[in-house]
Amino acid sequence: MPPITVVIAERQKADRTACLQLLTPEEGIRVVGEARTGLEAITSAAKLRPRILLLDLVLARVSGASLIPALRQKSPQTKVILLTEGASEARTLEALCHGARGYLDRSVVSMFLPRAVRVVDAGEAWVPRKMVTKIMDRLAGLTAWAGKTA
Amino acid sequence: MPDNSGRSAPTSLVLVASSVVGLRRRCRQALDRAYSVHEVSERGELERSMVNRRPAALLLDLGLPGLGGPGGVVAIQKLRAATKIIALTAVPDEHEGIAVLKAGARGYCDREIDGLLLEKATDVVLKGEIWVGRKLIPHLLEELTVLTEQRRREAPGKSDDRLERVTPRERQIVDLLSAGASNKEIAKRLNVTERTVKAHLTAIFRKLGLAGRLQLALFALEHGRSSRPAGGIGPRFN
Repeated sequence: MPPITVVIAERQKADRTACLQLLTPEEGIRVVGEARTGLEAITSAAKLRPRILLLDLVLARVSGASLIPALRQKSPQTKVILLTEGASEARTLEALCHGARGYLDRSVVSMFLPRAVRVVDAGEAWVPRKMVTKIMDRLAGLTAWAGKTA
Repeated sequence: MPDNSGRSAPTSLVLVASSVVGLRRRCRQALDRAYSVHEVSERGELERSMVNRRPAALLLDLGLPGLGGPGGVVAIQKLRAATKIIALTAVPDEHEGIAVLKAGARGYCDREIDGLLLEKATDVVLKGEIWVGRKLIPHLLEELTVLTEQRRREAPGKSDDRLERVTPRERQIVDLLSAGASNKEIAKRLNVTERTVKAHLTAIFRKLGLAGRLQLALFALEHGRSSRPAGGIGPRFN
């Protein structure tokens, strides 16, 4: 089995180091790159085609636009896991709408990061059930909208 | 109606609709402790009970005769919007799951679900949350992303012809930059100095009303595909 390749896109060096330290000892997971800015995240995802991109939620948004569609376009097979810090449900939901496959608050990163990486890589999502309800509500709204314009 | 929960508040009524006796029995056993349970075995009875008994929740076997499969959920939900429906399926399937959730169901699970989990599922939907298997969640997310993208593309007033304002030379720089090239790489590629590249970039930012490289890269990705020059300039990654 080839290892799960991961790029860490975090603004703060301490956060990058924390992720790196959590993932390095994990068998079957390999950190192949790091990024400090949104543009670096896009560039390294496009170059390295990691299976997982850990993306600082703050980097995921640039003056109102989401970075995630661009990431998906440049590297469609890369799955994005957001790293958040007390982020509002609305902000997180928006990033999920644009294509992130899960999110993890920094307060629980040390507990769950390796597992979240494996689960998302296996095709599942990493979101709490409360968020599933929000996802469904948003989906219902969008479906009604699509029905109107169809 | 049994009321053996020992709670002071009246227990919520859960309707169980299935023609399968064994399934109804298992549902009753799972829920009897915490809820009042009423069983129905065919569609006409289900419709009457939805209206007359006003159940808090409905466990609906998708194989119920006369229901017409997942599509029938809409009509049942219409009879009473406040009733939270949990659809029970013989063969869990992501398309069916998404269809029944879109039809208004608040839960979707395997008919063979363990009794304790069924009770939990009922608790969860009555709290206003959704109950679905973990495997279904990425499909919901995918659907969400597709619809979001579709809406973004089709939303009126979104079309943007600002890229038409830049010169062909500036356009080359936009394409190179959005492909991840540095100023130095762009300069080398176009056979100009880095200073010239910077001057072009300043003009581009001004014309497009953007604040920096990342904004420009995103802008180009969003708006630039249709008018990308034929033959493609700039390095594609790998």
